[in-house]
Amino acid sequence: MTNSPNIAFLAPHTTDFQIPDGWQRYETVAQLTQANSDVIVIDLPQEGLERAIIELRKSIYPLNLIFSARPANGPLFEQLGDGMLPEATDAVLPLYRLWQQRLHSFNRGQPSTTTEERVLAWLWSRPRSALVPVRAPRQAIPYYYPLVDVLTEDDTINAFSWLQLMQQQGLFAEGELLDRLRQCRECSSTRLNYIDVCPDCQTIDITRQPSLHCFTCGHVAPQESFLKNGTLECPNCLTRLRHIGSDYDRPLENLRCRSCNAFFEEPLVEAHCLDCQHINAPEDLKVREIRRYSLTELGRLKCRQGLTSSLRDDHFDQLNLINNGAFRTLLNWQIQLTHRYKSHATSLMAIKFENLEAAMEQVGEAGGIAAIDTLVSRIREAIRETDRCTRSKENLLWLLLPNTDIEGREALRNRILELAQLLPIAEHSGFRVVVDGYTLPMEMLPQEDAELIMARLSGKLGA
Amino acid sequence: METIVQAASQIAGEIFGNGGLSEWLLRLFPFFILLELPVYLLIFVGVLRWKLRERHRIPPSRLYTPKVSCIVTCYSEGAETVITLKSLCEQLYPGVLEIIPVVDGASINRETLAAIEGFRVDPHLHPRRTIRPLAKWQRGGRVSSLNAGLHHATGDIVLALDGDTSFDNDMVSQIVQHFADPNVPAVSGNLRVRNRNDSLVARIQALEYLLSIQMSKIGLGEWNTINNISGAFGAFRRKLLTRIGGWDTHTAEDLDITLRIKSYYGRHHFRIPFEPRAIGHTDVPTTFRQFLMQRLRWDGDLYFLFVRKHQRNLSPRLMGWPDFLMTLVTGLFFQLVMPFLIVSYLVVGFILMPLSTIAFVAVLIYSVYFAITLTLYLACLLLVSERPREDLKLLPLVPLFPVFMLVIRCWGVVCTLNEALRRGHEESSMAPWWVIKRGKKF
Ligand SMILES: [Zn+2]
Ligand SMILES: [Zn+2]
Ligand SMILES: [Zn+2]
Repeated sequence: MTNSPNIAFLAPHTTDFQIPDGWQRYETVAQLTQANSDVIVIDLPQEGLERAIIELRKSIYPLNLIFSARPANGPLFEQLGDGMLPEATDAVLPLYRLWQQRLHSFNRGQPSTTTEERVLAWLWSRPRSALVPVRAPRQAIPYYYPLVDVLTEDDTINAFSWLQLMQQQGLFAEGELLDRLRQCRECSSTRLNYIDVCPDCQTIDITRQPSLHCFTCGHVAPQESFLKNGTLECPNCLTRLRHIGSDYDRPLENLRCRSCNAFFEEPLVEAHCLDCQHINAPEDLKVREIRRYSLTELGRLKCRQGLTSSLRDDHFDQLNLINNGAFRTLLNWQIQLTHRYKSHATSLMAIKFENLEAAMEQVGEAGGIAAIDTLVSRIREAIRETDRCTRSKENLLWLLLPNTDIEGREALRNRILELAQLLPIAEHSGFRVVVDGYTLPMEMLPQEDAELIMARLSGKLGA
Repeated sequence: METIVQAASQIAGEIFGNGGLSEWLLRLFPFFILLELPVYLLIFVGVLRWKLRERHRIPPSRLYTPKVSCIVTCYSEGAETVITLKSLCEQLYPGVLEIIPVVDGASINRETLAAIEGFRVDPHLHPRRTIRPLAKWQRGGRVSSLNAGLHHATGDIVLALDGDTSFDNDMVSQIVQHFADPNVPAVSGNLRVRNRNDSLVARIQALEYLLSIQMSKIGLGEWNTINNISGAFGAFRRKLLTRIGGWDTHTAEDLDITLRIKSYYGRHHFRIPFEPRAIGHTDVPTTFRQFLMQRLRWDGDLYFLFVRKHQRNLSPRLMGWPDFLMTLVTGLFFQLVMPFLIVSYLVVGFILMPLSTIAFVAVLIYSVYFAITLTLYLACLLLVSERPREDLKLLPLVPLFPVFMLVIRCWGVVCTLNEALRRGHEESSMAPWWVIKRGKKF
């Protein structure tokens, strides 16, 4: 904390800017991403600035302070940057210290890797900041959240749904409503053509046709068929129609379908998607509100106290979960070991939480989380340092237990089931913990690899 | 039965026996019938002539289609005005129609104003109809509404219409065709009673509108002597209206403007046709009291116009001889003098004649007027009416009609006296006193 920050200065070949001593000068973003700077100052015109800042945020500088040496504006820089470089360059230091302090206090000092962590860290490190949507003209969805986009390593994440989720979890507060979009059900595009069609046969070939209704005989026909020598005469009963309201009137149905000849008053309106050609009923369109978002009180609390225990998705993180791929690699490696050394026994175990969601809803978020936390910490106590865990589904936990035979596996299974019995939510709803496993090599089929044996086990559990 | 025959022969004996038929007839015959009969004859022949012309008439030209402005004076009609506006939008006239509803006293007639402002012209259904409402917040009377409308009107032809009158869809075509003749400064439209089924008083007025107004206007119109352009329903050349200064704020507009055009007439070869095929449907008073009050105003205005205001204009030099004579006969004599003659005759008769004679004369007079009424009614039904089925329902009222006419004439005397003695027009309910005060004094 006492170290002075590495300040990088990004500028093209020539710059009028007087670079202070100790700053590192870079000419390209690529060079900068190779370095390890703490604060970045960019001296580029607006367009170059925006391009550079997007690249930097996506690189190793997602959260660092980035200033512009030139006057800069525009919603993109306002959202992704930290404003103009202070007049006195010394002023950067206190800003940096403040930023560093806030980041240190974030999530108990854990590094931020997921989208959630990064976005929360950003909002935490910049106390008055908010997630602001920026217009994206000519796009299927004409708004985007630049901050969410650059802080997400996974391109498939839908910023809008993600924001909604964060808001539902009470971490984000809905800010000013900026727009409301209607989107195609199929592809979410807002490029829709609202078109009036025949309510009977849905063809678009409809035409306005003023028609008349004869009171004498009830005949309804287009107005032209009544006109005769500058007067109106019913073509059906030949009555002369002199006065609206007493001899005739105009039916409200004055639209006609050229395809099926239906007369109607109001056309049906359809929203045709110009991108995927899906035909939406207007009331079926997705409605999306475009808002600013900021941290809630709860969000700030969790930033300070740590995210893991509180984020619903991460109850199992205490088990030092590894990702699925790594788990499978380890399992394959263990399979090879058991092939090589016949005495070697390794067990694979799966724990399934049935009706977890329903139980959570029933006992309330807090109670549910507490119960799961208890169970998870007990499981952690029951397993060994060398055991590995992963989660393939929300409610399916995998344990790889090296050097564990059937007996050891069964012992652990009973222990976990006992623990589950103690959970306060176990009696409620249909919540149930199911545990099963295979021990290698005895219970292995020939030619079976990690993927196949995991599939077989999850099938046995009915998962 | 026998006693009635006996009594009749006794009465006849008294009359004819004592001094002879000719003397009695000379002494007692209601001579005013002799003065009226030629006029009825003129009307009847005029109607026949009109019918003959009508049969060879070519339908309204589609080539002469000047822009027409419809000034609709509105007061407390409320939502009823919408029917009027709708019937104007529905006109089959191929030219452009500019509809100008003028709400008088808009600050108190909120309902009327709201109804008019809420009225929308569907540009797809009625492409050549525009509506431009005017609100006169202070009450200024019908004349000031008409003048306000005229000020904003841009059409070549201006129609002066009432907010409680709706129109057949060929009204504008029928009325406008006359203006193809440059000698026509104004055209009078034909009014029918819309609320004829509301009461007996309304029904009998429906008959009056058919016979006294429609038939006499057709008949007299043939001889080019229209005595009045209906205030609720008339058409004018806008240029001429502007030249004579619009409507006069002084009193009932209809007769006044007719007389002013007529005084113009003597110097130009103008004629004012009546178009029976240009039909408007209007509401009439439904109670006898309301009816009498309406006539008090009309007849008072009549006296005021002829005697006070247009004294100097009523000369053959200004109007031309035929028109002067006709105005004198139909306007002055029949409408102002005749009621006095009839009432005097009745009063004198009742004093001088024995009861039996009175009864005989009454039957005689009634028979003559009944015959006239029936003839006119049949002629109307067979030759003129465009809705004969509907008008046939008025047949039971024909025997009652002569009595009704007598009542009107007696009331006319009251009205004229009232006007002459009290200058009653100044209390006219149509224009409040401050408007009258600003006008010229006579
Ligand atoms: Zn159709
Ligand atoms: Zn019909
Ligand atoms: Zn689509």
